[in-house]
Amino acid sequence: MNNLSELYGEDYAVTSEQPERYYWYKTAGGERFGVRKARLSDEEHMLLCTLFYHEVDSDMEDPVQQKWVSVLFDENLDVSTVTEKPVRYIHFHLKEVPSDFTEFKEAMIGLFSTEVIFLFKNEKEGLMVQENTEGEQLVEELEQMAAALTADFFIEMSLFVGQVIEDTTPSNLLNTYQTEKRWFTSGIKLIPSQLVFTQPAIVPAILFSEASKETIHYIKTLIEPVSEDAELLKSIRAYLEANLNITMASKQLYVHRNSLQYRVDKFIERTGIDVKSFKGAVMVYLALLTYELR
Amino acid sequence: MAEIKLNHIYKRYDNKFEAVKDFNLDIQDKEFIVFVGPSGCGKSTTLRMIAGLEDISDGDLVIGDRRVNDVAPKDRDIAMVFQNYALYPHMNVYDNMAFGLKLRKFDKKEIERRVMDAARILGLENLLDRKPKALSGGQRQRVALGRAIVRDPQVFLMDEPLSNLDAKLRVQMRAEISKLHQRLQTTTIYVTHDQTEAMTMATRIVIMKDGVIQQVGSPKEVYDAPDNVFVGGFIGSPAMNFLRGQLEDGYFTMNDVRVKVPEGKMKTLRDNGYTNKEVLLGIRPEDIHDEPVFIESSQDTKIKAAIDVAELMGAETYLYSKVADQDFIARVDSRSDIHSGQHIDLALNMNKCHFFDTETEQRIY
Repeated sequence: MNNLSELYGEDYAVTSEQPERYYWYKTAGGERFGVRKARLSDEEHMLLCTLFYHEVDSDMEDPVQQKWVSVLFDENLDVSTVTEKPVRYIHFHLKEVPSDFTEFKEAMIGLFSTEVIFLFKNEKEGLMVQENTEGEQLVEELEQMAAALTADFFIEMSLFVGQVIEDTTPSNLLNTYQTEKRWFTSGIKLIPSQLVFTQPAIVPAILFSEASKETIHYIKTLIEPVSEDAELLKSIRAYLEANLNITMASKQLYVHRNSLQYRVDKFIERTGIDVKSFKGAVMVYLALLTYELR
Repeated sequence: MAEIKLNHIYKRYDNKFEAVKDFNLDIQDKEFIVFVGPSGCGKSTTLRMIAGLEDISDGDLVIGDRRVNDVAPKDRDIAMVFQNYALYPHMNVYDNMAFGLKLRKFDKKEIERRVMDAARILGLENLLDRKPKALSGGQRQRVALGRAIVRDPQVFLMDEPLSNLDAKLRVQMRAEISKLHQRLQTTTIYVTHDQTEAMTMATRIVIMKDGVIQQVGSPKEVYDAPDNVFVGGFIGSPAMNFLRGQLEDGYFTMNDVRVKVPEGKMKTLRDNGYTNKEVLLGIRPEDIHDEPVFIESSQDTKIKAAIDVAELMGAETYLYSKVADQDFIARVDSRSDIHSGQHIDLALNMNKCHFFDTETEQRIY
């Protein structure tokens, strides 16, 4: 640290009244320091980001955000109440660091109403805390938003929509954050093409992450007789996701319900698995997911 | 506007899996190129490499006259349209289309001009104040197209943009995208798994399987002269029929069924050493005829068929049948009034058939 202080001289600080003028970093031991932005070239900043943890939002002034950062990122449980309302976390992960990070961040923040608190853990990941936890269209809207951001910034992102958290004690908020983040990380690793993950959808991915190759191969072979028939697999997936409701699934697929009924029967005939039964459906769902695993 | 060159492009993942292998293609300015193939064939991966969303493991990607492998995606002057409507749910149509331009610091007047132009082209003028939620699927995808058009890029990249639409709307939007291309003349690369989309929209089609290009050609070329069994079976609906048999004395024989092979084709087969060997005969459903006049004049390519299922499609009927225990489909005029269970005569138009090697699956003739 002394060497850095010596190297950057007046541009090095541990505190500042104008924190927004500095890039802030933290060592593995928790020591925090800043270097004036004007002093650093992009390469130097990148190098420091590689060596130290880069605190993206340390310059924020909003006390509510500060509380959230303190609990979730600094694991400080001495904070009094963070929120009294139930909340939901929407975690995000960017595949690349946006070259125009500030604009990207502003665009993301601008996309949500004021009820969402944005917390950037670093330049690639963070979460949105949503206080208005209602929203049936949430997953679809998030998918559209993620695709729009990709189209505008050429940065791909994945999102994880967590469950509603009723117990908002700091320890539960932190625990939930850490658990969901772990799950999200496993999901991204296993199904990188997925834009939006939800808890029910991510559980099988977690199971697969701990399963042996042989097990996954075995599950995959359950539907091998139809593995080349993309249309049939798509139909069966829609049928399962519509809670085994032929009418709903056929609307989703824009096909006549008799056509879908025929496809379901064909699937049963060719695989020998009764996908109409609960147990059969679970088995087929897991088998379908294995085809999406990297 | 731009030419795009893909030279020996590879995509390898960390686990050594090769998603794209030695992809070579020169795309001319103003072309509408369609990448088509089953899921996992590498078509989207190739598109994503052109966009810069995936690194290129090996090879050169040239857009215009510069190599762009290491150029940031936003500096490649391309615009993408995705399967998911890429829209900001909380912005109205106007702001959705203007957003990308605002980001690129266009002045307000220019933004307005471009958005209004695109809205006019896409018929969105009356919807500019609406939020995506208040739009139909087709309108949403039109806004997503508008977001790409306003950018006036060198290249449009479209990744299955119509997959979320119902069949009727898909046909309509297909025509709209084609018209849009005729009007804007922007080089376009379009990815789909739907061979009908590929056939109806493309200047040239690139058919892929397992990360490898199988054939590149105009829709007519790939339909009339498929390079291999995969292309023959993939392009066309219903698919090309493949019958396994032997070449004997100028005839293609399947057990006790014999059909005469035209002399020109037979000569090529003979010259290539296929006499008395097993081959695959590929014939399209519409090249199997039930008209008495045709059968009369084609006695040596006549077969007897028991119709398993006759599917009335409107103007045409699909006949599902078997010859020498091998399935095939014939596409005949609905006026024929043929029913399931009937036994009828059919004749193959052997001038239109193809022969494929049973091992390499490549076309011999």
